[in-house]
Amino acid sequence: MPDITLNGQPIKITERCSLAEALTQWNTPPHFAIAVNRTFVTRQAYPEVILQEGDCVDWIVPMQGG
Amino acid sequence: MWKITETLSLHSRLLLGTARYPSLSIMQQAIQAAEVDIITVALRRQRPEQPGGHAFWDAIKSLGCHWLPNTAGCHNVQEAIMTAEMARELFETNWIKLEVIGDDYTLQPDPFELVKATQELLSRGFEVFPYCTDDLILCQRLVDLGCHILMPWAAPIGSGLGLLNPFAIATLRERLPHIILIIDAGIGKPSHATQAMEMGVDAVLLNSAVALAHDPIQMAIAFRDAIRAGRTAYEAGVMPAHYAAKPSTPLIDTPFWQQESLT
Repeated sequence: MPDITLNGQPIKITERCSLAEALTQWNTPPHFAIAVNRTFVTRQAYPEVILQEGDCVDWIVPMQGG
Repeated sequence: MWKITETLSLHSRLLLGTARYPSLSIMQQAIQAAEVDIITVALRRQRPEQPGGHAFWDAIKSLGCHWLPNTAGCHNVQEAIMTAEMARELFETNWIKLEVIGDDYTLQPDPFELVKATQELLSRGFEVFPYCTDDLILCQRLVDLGCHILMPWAAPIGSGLGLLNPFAIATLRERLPHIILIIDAGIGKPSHATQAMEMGVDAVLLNSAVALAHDPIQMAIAFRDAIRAGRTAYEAGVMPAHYAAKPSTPLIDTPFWQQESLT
């Protein structure tokens, strides 16, 4: 089972797991965007992205800004 | 009402940031008191120790304002473009307040990276609100690329210093009469905003001046009124200034006309 990093925390995922599949197993916030290895992944691309050993997945969420 | 884009008319000429308020509730109350149409928002990485983000989302959603996401913290074209793309998906808007910082001490925008990022984002269909210095040539380049809106700084972000170079802002107004100028950053008190509005800029964006006030809600009201006053004064036409005194009361037939003959 590959090890990846989710929001800075180590986590295991199943083999050949797509980002779309992984998201169904995670407790995601209601509104977010995704970066994998610091690169933006559009919603449409979630099923096509197969997560690899060592990948770094970050949820990007709204925050206060000026 | 004034038009910020071809299709969107707004009531307010004040844009407010959503950061640095004592609480989300005070932020909401200040935004409502200011009667603004546009608020700025940002993105961050989810951190395990700081989950959620939906409280803020719910707070801004309830306000019914247009959202202007920023690219705060970006230092180059690649970072700015990625942040803009994420913001477009997350906030469902093609508006982006483009910040590409060139110096971390002053948070001065990097004009070279800004121009490159603007060009790329315009080609990707964004409505770019570039946060820029008040340099005329930079602003002209941004307009040449297709920007309809410019956001020149008054002073460094969060400094509260007010308009450091009124001449430069007046020059931008004169040389770019059809471009929407929104003063962004450095406004500290309502009189600063009035001064900018009296010069004919189209709007003012601020955050810290309200959020860090002792009473942000009262200060939001003060800025709301200051900006209205400044705009009204601009439309009314400010009298020309001159060094010599000119009596405001006519001196013909004053009660003491005879004193001249008695002396």
